[in-house]
Amino acid sequence: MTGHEQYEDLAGAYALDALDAAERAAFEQHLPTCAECQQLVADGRLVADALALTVTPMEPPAALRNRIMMAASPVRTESPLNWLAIAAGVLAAVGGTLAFAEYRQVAAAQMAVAQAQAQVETLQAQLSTLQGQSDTARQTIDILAADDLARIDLKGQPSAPSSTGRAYWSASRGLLFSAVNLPPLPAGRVYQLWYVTAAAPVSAALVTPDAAGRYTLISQAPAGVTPTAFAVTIEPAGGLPAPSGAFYLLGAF
Amino acid sequence: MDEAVVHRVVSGDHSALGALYDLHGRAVYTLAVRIVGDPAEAEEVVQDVFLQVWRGAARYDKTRATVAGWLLMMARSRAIDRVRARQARPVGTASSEFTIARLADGGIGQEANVITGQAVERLKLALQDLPNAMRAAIELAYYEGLSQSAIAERLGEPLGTVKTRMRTALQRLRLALGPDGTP
Repeated sequence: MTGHEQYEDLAGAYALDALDAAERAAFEQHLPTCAECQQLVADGRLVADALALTVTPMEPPAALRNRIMMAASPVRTESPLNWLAIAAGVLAAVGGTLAFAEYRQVAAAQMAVAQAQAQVETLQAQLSTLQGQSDTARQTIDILAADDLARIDLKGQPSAPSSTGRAYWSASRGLLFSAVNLPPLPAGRVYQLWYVTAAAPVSAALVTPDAAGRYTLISQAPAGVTPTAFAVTIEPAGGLPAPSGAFYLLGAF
Repeated sequence: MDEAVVHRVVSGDHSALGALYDLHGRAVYTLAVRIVGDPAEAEEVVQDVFLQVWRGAARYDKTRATVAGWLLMMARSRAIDRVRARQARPVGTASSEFTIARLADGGIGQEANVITGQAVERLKLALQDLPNAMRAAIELAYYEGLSQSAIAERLGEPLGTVKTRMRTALQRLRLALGPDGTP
């Protein structure tokens, strides 16, 4: 029968994590059965906690706070990545304490986790692309299948005679708009698409065509807007609340 | 209150992470510098600790430690690991990571004590009053993560002597803190 006395010597060192592995194992067997040792460990931990506070305080650089806040991404989703990150962390933690053979196994597992992480990232990127495409297709079908659908063809104006545009408009579902052959934009300018109404024109979107002069837009119907025509004008970068520049495309109901 | 901030951080509240850092960042940084020596590396330790909390990879158990004690324990563990990695010390050291795992598991339940500023001042005086050899034993264990046998080796003293000194020193320091660390 082993007595409490032999363990009493170990309790404080245990609290400071200063026991060798064999002693620690022995002490941990004894600890749950001994209220005295539990108290000694608690006392030792209290001292350990307080020791940290005896160091003369130092001010961390202000940039450190920013770095931590930036590294902690504000948007967190429950994705497999989190679990993989935790798995990687556990492996890293365990890796520090093992013999070489086990260390190699952990290293292999770490590599497997890293590979899985990369795969998940790739798949997530693909999935998000596909989701975007699927959303676009569904919105397009929604608009084209609307009961109140109207089609308006837009003609190129003197500034862009070879340009054409087409708007599918549904007051209930939204706007599907496309344009082709828009001339390249000068620096600092942007095209702007307008709902022309009985009152003032309402901006629908800033239009930046691709290199081939093509542009496509899907947009929800703005509340209370009843267009009588659609128009594309050229405006200063950032757009304006009301059209000021030359008309490039125009089409009325 | 501290505990509520931790829960908000774990549930993804970005501003709570800032609040937690404002409350404890300085203490964590101070301890990290004391252990690793290099301020730049200490910053990495601080970042590790707070991001670990943010990612929910470290669980806080209020029956084990105060929030400050918990953060400092993580900081100490990481800082000591870095010092060891630098020294490539293969055996003979106790494992700080195992302590973390054990503490996170819970087991021996009791309310964590809050340590007041006055108690810390008394502890500083008690540390100064310790004979050098005793203070060295405590500091080598706490700041360098050495086991008792590694300390004996470092100081060129018998293991039994180191054990006795550490035990006596801890008793004195504990007494200095007062009944439960409060004034």
